[in-house]
Amino acid sequence: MPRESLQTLTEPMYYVLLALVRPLCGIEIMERVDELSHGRLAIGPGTLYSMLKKFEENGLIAPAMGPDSPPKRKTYAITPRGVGFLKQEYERLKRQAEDGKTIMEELV
Amino acid sequence: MSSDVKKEFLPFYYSDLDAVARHLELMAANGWMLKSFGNTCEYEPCEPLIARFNVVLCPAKDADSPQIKPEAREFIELCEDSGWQFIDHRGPAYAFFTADETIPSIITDEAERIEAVRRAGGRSRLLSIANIGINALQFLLRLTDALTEKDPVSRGLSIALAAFFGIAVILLAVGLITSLMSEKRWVDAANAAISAGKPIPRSDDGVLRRRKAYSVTFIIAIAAATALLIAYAMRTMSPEGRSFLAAMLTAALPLAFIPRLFKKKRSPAAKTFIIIGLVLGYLLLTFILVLIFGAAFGAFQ
Repeated sequence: MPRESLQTLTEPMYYVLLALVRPLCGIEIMERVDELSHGRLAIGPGTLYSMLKKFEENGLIAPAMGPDSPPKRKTYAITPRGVGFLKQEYERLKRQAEDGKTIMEELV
Repeated sequence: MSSDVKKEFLPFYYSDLDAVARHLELMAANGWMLKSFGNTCEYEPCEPLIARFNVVLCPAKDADSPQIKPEAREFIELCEDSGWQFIDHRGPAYAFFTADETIPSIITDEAERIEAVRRAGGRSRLLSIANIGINALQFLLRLTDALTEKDPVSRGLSIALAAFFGIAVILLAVGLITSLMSEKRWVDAANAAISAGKPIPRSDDGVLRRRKAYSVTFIIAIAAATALLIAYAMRTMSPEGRSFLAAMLTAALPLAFIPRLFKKKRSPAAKTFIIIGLVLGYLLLTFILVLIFGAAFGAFQ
């Protein structure tokens, strides 16, 4: 199971999987993560490389052909298994936010 | 060698890479841009430049191969697409630079950086342990020879060789323990910083000077031990023995240039030819030198 080998998804991992809902190459992934996080998150190319290899080993992403990707650059896209994993993670984060909502409202 | 190239002996541990990057930035600011990143760094003159350098452990498979393999090439291309320019690599340590202040560092995950140092350090230590093992075995073999040999000349040579390998084992072991302790200190400090939500502490500015001091001491000690051994052997051996020893050592000198032959990408057939050529060349050169030294020492009469 991906969760056992990946343990908990870090924030950059989550955003990279979100970005790969459509096929993208490395530099496009970095730009998309920057866009999705509204400039809050910057991933270094070395960190992204390690992440992509880990995701690929765990079957969450696979090499793909992107329509607009630069030539000679490896493109990745999320797999159905990766989509399932992403949805689980999204639900977990939603539950966490909801669980804390009452407490946070009291603090305000 | 062009007079416009500056060479520098720059030893470091994998936990020192931020210090190496800072050193390269200082060199660039003083008008020297890194050109090659082997055991000896080479710099070429440039306009003084405020540049950022990143020296990182490449996570790709076979990253420490002298030739850039496809996975490492993918890693380099990813870095270059994001604005970092690749210069060269030494083992798994890859050097990049950029003049752009805004682009993110190559490694932005501190935990990954620690893990990369531990992995690379572990592989390097396995090689060191193998090296120590080989030298220790040689020490034991020579010691056994010394204890069993009846001929005083041969016994003396065996003792000298045993002493040489013994010194090598001690020096290598000290180096291994030092690197292990240094890495553990760095990893502990780095983990503590991450747990406290802080960035990994910078290596201190003196760390590269210390590494150089140890490496130079090691080289001098080994060179001195080798010189003493050779001198002792030459003094006690027969003229024929001296001729062979002198010929073998002299013929081995060009072997120091072997790594340069394999740095360029070559086909397997080319590499095979080079290796065969080197072996045959060494044997031929040794034969010729035996004759020359034999004549000089009055051997084979």
